[in-house]
Parts: sequence; C-alpha cells; structure tokens
Amino acid sequence: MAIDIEPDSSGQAELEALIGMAGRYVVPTDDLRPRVLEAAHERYLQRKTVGKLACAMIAATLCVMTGVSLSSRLQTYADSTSMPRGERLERMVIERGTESRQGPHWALAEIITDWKGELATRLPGADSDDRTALTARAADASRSVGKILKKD
Amino acid sequence: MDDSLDFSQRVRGCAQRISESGPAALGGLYDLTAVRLVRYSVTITRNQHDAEDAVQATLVRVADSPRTLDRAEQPWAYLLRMVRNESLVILRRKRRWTSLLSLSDLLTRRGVDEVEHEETYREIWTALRTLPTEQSEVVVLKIWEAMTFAQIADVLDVAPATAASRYRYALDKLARKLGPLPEVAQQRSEVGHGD
Repeated sequence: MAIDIEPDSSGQAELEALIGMAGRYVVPTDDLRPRVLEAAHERYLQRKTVGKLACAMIAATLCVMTGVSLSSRLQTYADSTSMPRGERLERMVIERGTESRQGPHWALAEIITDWKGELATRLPGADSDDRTALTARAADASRSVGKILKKD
Repeated sequence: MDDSLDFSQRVRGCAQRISESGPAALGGLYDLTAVRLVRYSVTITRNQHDAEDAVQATLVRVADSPRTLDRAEQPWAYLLRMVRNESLVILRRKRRWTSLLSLSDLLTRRGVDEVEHEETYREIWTALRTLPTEQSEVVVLKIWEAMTFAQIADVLDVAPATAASRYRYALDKLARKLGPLPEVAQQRSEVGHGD
C-alpha cells in the first residue's frame, strides 16, 4: 500500500527541505562508540563465563549422580558377596546346626559351601556348566574341611 | 533500488559480519547507523543522554543475537523498532523534567558553511520537541530516513493512513510554529527576483 503525500505547496517542500538539513545537526557524543563496543564485549565475556559455569555445573552434577549410583551398587554387591562374619555367622551356624542336627563345625562347613556356590553363580561370564562345576568343587572342598574338623 | 531498502541490505551485511566475527564487528554497524539511531531516539526521549543509552542497549542486544537482525525482513526498520522500544522503556523508567524549549542536552555539529543555518536548525529542533512524540517520530522517519508511509507504519505498528495523517498534522504545526523562517523567506525572495 503506497500512501505518499505530494507537497501541497512550495512552502511545505521548503519546510521539508529545511527539516532535512537540520537532521545532521545532532550527533552522538564521542565516547558513545567505545562505550557501546566495551558494553558488547563485556556482555559477550559474561555470556561465555555463564556458559562455562553452566557446563561445569552440569558435569559436576553428572559426576555426583554417577558416583552415588556406582557406590550404592558397589555397596550392594559387596554386601551380597562378602562372607558372613561375627554375630551373623554365629547365628547362622546355630540355626543351621539346629535344623540339620549337626555340630557347629559341620554347620559352618555347609555355610561356607553354600556361600561359595552362590559366589560361583554370580561370576560374570561363567555359564551354567561352569557354575555347576564350581559349586561341586566348592562342595568337595567343604566336605574335606568337614572331615578335617571331625578328625579334630 | 529504494534508499531505505539499500540501507537495509547494508544493515543486514553488518549483522552477518557480527554473526561471523562476534562483537568485535559491532563497530561497522555502529558507524553505519549510530547517528541516525541517536537522532531518532532523541525525538522520543527528548534527551540525548537517554537516547544514547537506548542506542547502546539496542546495539548490545544486536551483538548478543545478530541472527535476529539478519533474518528480519527489513533489518533497518527492525533496528529502528528496537531503538524505539528501548527509548520507550527508558522514557518510562526515567521521567525527566526537561524544558521543551531547551536544547542544552544535545551535542550538535555544524560545518563551517552551516554557521549561518545554526539558528534555523535550533528553531527546527525546538519546534520538533514541542510536537507530540507520535507526530515528531513520523516526521523524523519520513524526512530524515526517507521512508514511505508503509515503511513508517511498519516501524510504528500503525496503519499507513494513520502515519500519513500524523505527518500532515505535524507539518501543519511545524509550519505554524516556525513561521516565516529567514531561510524560507530568503528562498521565496530569490524565487520572486527570478520572476
């Protein structure tokens, strides 16, 4: 849509010409240019710093989350694979001895056998045959321990 | 090609250079547009210091995201709109009590051959300051930026007919305020002698 006003008189054209000339009368101050460039540069550095900080925070958060998750899994794994000790072991020996009506030595040997068998099943990469073999070897070993204990 | 379209392409070129080289290339856009942006902003803020703050804020924004200006359909009109918005924000924030008849805040420049015109320029700037902002900015965009009413309407977000009528009112008021300026009288007398 083109709407333009034709100068309706020579007076209006002269007035427009004079206003046009007055447009060059006002200029920016000399310090505006360095001020603008410095402000833009500062803003750029500020954005860069904020970006770096954001990246560092994301990286730190990921590290903490990974660490917490890993340590919790390791703790669970360590708990489940460690040999029962102390009061827990004593309780297990008494329970096993009572259940199977055996002496504490034999109950202890059986507990060790079970634990080793369970460990064998958890070995990464071990197929079911390997696990069975390992469980059998653990059972043999515990029987030997039992015999030694009975002799004593 | 239309002057303002050509100028728009140059503004787009500057925005592209800022996109490629970062804020170090802002000097090019400043050199191309600062004088025009400041004088436009002065007509809104009526104070040179505030106008320069508005221009600075605008150009820093452009340096921050030059692609916005580069992708604009009319980069020059877009830049003027940005300055206008910043000027209005500053105007709202700092309500200054300035005398409309004083030009003491303005930094002026006159060439050696323009000394005799200085009084006329001062009268014109003073008269412009007495106009309502919506009228004075149309005069600035029409005469100093050589924009069509359609382009002015785009900058001001009004209908082209509204821009045209504001311009007509503004010129009527300016003609009454300025009266027979010495230079106009001189030009008329020259025309009279020519006859």
